[in-house]
Amino acid sequence: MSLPAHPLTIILLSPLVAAVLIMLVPRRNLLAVRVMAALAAGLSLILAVWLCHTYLTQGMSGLQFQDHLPWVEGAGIAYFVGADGVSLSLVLLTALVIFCGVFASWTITYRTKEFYCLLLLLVTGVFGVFVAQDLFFFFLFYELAVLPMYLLIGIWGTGPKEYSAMKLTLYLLVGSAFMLVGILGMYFAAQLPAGAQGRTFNLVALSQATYGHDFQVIAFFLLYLGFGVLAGIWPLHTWSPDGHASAPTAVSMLHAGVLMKLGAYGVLRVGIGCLPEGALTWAWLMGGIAVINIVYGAYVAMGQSDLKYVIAYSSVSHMGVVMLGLAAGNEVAMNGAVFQMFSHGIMTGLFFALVGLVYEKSHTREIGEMGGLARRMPGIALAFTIGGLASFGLPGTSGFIAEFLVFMGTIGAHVHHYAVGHLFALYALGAVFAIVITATYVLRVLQRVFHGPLNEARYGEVPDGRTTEWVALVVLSAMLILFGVYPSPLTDLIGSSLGPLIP
Amino acid sequence: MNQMLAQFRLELLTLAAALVVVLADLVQPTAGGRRASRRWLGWFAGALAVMLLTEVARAWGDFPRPQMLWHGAIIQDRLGMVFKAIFLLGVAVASVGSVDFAVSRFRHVGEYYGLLFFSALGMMLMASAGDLLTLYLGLELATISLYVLTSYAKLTPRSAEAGLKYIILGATASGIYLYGASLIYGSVGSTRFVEMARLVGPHPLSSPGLAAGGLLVICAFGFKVAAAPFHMWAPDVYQGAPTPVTGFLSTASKAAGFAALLRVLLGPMNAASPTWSTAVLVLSALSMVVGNLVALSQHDIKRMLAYSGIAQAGYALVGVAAASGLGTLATVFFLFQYLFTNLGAFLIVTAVGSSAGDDEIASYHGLSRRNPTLALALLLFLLSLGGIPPLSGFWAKLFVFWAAIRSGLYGIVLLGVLASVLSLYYYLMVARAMYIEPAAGKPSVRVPVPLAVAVLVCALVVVGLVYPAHVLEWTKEAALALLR
Repeated sequence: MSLPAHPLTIILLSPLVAAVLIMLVPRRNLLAVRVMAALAAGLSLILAVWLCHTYLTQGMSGLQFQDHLPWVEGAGIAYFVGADGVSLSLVLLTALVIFCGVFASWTITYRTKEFYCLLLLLVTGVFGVFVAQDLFFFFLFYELAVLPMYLLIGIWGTGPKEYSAMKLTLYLLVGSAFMLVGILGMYFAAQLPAGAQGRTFNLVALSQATYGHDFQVIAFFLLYLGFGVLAGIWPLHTWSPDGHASAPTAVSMLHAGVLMKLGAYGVLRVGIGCLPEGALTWAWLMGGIAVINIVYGAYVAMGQSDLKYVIAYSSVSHMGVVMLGLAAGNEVAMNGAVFQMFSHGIMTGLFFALVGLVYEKSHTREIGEMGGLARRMPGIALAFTIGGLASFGLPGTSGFIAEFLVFMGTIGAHVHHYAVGHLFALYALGAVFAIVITATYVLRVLQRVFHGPLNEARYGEVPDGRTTEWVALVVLSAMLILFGVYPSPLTDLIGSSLGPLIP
Repeated sequence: MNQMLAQFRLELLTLAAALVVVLADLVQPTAGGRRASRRWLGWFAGALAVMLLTEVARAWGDFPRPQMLWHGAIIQDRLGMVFKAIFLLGVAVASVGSVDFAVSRFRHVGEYYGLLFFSALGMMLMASAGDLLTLYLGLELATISLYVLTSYAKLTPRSAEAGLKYIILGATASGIYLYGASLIYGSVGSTRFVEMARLVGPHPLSSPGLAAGGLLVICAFGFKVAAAPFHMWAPDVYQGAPTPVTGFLSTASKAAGFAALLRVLLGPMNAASPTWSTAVLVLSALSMVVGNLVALSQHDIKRMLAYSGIAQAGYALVGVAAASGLGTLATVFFLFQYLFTNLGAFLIVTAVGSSAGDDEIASYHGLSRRNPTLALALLLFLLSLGGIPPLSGFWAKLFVFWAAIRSGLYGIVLLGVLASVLSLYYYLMVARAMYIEPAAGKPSVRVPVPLAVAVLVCALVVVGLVYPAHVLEWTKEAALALLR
């Protein structure tokens, strides 16, 4: 059976069409809404797996499955989507997380229709960013992914939801403002190869164009700031803990798992891919901030008493690993960075799904009030343990592969960066040290929440996961172990396309 | 003479339409329910406006190059055509949208629609003006009609107050304009744009009379488009006027002011563009800052939209400041989509205001549960005003900032982008009221059919402009016409 035509557009449009159809379903019919969402997510997942499989087995490289439709010819804007190995791995991640997210939200009964509608709209934006090869549509899909967050967190969130929602939205929009300035700057400053018909937003053309050195330095910094807000770089990360903690489960899964990767992907594809000299100039700063992320995020996570905040700060920490790999700028490190994007996406999706379940059943997120839950919820405890082990990179989990690749690449980075000497070796040292902190807080959380004495009076009747809840847990835990033991499909997929992206 | 009248056909037909609407109300028998049977007048007015639009479409082909009428007093060109289309669309949507409102609130319904047409006629004269005095004529016709419309709900104190404020401040602005025009005439010796362009020469600012006159003219039109620091009239007038009139005023009248600015600045004053560009930039920056900052604290939605309109004028002024064909294109596109976005929003405010009895944002609590489609439409309009892709407002802002970058104006672009993000805060406050706050027993809003039709048309345009290529073609023609 051969691939359908325009596979990437189908992946993009499937959640959008489902969102529109869901709006037409009568409000009472919750099952229809949920099933439609599940079907749309399932379709995207099947296609994503199929595309990855095709890409790998046919030994493809470069941009494949392209769709091109001129939009505003005079301005060089076109609907141009295409995917290489890096994009496909992230599309697969998104499809996995949204599929599990739909099931993790199965029990929502308050305004279910609007919830799934907004969720699917959000996912359309995310898919769009990963496959867009026209900077204008890249920006458009990015903005499309930001706005539904406000309503999703503001309506279905918990705690200081409106504050968190507004903070998150404004922060991300300011980031997108910087991004827009950078993108427009690139549009105007690109010296395209001879024979080009005037300016364009075409990402392929822009990545092959030449730019002045000074321009690259300024523009890369602006893009780094803009994308970095979404990636959660310190000190622009403060929207993230409140946003993740206040958001409903599926939204947290998507946001920490996938949306933060949008920022890192933007740095990789647009920043490093198009402005390599800028990337090399700022590598020292990117690496330094990444190490701060790793250490600071882990340290703060250690001090949290709310389970969701522990995971939110751990996301900040793990995104630091991604950014460190991107900063190091060699093949191994960047492969590790994208691998970590995938692995952390799965892991944090798993964590937030689990926290959602624990909260639903025990009605608290405070670690101090929990204890011994493994006796009543063995399945959930097992999944949490697998996620935790992946979090500090235990061999056998995908987290190990990712962190190992990044650290190996980072230590080797000093040979490529003439001006920074052994700086990156120091960064690697700091990052590896942070593993100890990560292990500390993860194991402490595991011990305090799931082991130890059980408060029978309070948690005596707490059930384990239900059928629909198992979907998310099983799929995501399996991915973590699968790619920990057999990482080569993913590393090959990523590695096949890293060539043009290395500065 | 006959040929000139033939080329002036659109304006004459508009005049005829205004008179027909007024007469239609008079000749209608008053038997039966007097008020109820006036509902058809709104639809009739809308239909007339649409017929005039077909005349615009037909006349588009007549003016591939600008035509001077009466020795240059009127310039018929494609720029004028696009603006006339904007004004007539404003009349059409406002007429149809206010069918129920007019019938229930106003004693004299036919005159209301007639005044909309008269105002549009004045705006058309402004958009085709080739002479400072023709511009004044159009300005007065447009604004006097608007003064009356603003105070049309004359038994409401707010409306009467708004009308009074508007006429006093508007007359002052017109006076400033005349003073500026007289200074220009004194320096140059002519009020015809084509002759002025010849006489002004490469160093226009060497003549202090011309410089002062030009500055006064910019200030007068700054008032017209509600740009800071000439914006003080806007919040009170917008709040006090009957809401559909506010919608028309905030969109079509603003567009007319911009048409005049483009005609004067990019016509005879083109040579002085570095200087007036700076003046316009100052207006733009102030408008963006003042409009967005003060809007943050508003709890009356009409005042909030007034301040938002001040900020939007700021963004459009960036296109004027770019002083280029691309800038003109961007400004015209901005005004075109702004018509539908803002007018649609004000029509929804009309419906909610009529049901709730006030225009507080608190009246919108839980609107997404009470009237989900209405809330969704308002959300779309507000997000478009905030510049969120893929809606039309994003394209509009993109093009004005693009034009500014091409003209080397980087600072204002950065300010504009940040101001745009800031504006989303108060737009999202309304979204929050509609979607997050509970309905708390508020009743469902009654949406009359004509209003629903008008809002639907606006929403379709705002969403449909995700593919802007066709409208861009028209605005490009308009910009080219101005540069010829």
